Amino acid sequence: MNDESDNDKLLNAALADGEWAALSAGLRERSLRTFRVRRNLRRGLRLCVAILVFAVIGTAGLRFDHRGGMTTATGTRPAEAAVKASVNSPRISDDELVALFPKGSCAIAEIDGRKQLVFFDEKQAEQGYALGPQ
Amino acid sequence: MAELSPRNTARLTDFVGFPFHEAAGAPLRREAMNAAAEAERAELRRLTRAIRGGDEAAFGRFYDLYSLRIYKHLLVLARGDEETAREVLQTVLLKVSKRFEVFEDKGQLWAWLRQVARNAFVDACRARKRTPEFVSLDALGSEPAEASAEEDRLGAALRMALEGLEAADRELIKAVYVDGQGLQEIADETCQTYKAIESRMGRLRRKVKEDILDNLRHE
Repeated sequence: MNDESDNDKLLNAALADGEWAALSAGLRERSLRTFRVRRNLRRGLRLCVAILVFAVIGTAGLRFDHRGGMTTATGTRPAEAAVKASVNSPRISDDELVALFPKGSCAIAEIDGRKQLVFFDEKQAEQGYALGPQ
Repeated sequence: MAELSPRNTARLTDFVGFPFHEAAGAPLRREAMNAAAEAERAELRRLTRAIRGGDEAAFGRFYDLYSLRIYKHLLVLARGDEETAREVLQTVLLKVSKRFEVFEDKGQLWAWLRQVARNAFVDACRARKRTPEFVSLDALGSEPAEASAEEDRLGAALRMALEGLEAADRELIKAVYVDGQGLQEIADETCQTYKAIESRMGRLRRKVKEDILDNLRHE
């Protein structure tokens, strides 16, 4: 990358005098400082983004875990038991059906002489519940 | 006894001086040149990628290779106005140190640098509102890849500056800067002291520089 022509050699000799050397040394230092600052800024930004991504992933994981944890809070894991029961037998009882959903979210009611599963929060019911152990 | 006909002799003489050795070596030379060009491309790619990756030493190397070339380019744009060229050079190098691209081709890298320099120069002109004093950007060609326009101007300014010197001074400058002859060697040959040659060289360099800048100013 150093193929200097005769013209270049002469021009460099004439133009790159002591004044240029002083200017160039200062400018080199300044450019390198800017380069360093930019590089550190970019690295810092990348680190921040990585931390943010980990934080988002971590929060999402915690929330996910928390939702599963609601059922474990009762200590007996009724949903898990219900799912196991449903796997072993083709039919489930009313209690087993209610136990499939988060505690207090629904109940079996008799309407017009027929048993029906009624959800207290219609919106949540439309969105759906996580069934069984997560 | 068979004699060579004039036609035959003519044919033989046709080949006198024909560069057989060059013709035979041409493919090899071409291969070697291709390999050298490829190596150069790889080196530039490595350098620019390292700069982009934040390698300070690589940026330092780039600075050493290109800062003076950018300065010379700016001197032409600024018509020999050293102050403007230096000011814009600072802007260009700071811009480049903030954002760098990866290049495989020296021509492309230089075209990019020229574009950055040109933009910085236009901004400086706008800030000073002194456009008429400088070289018309249209006159330099709109295609950034055309590197020759400024180099031609600088080359012409140098030629004129050298022509303005006495033959002995011209020879001395060429001996030192082109042939790489040492000052002591020249001093011994010309029966002068080292100091005398050194101060003469200093004077000549200053004169050539002033003449180059003057030629750029009065183009």
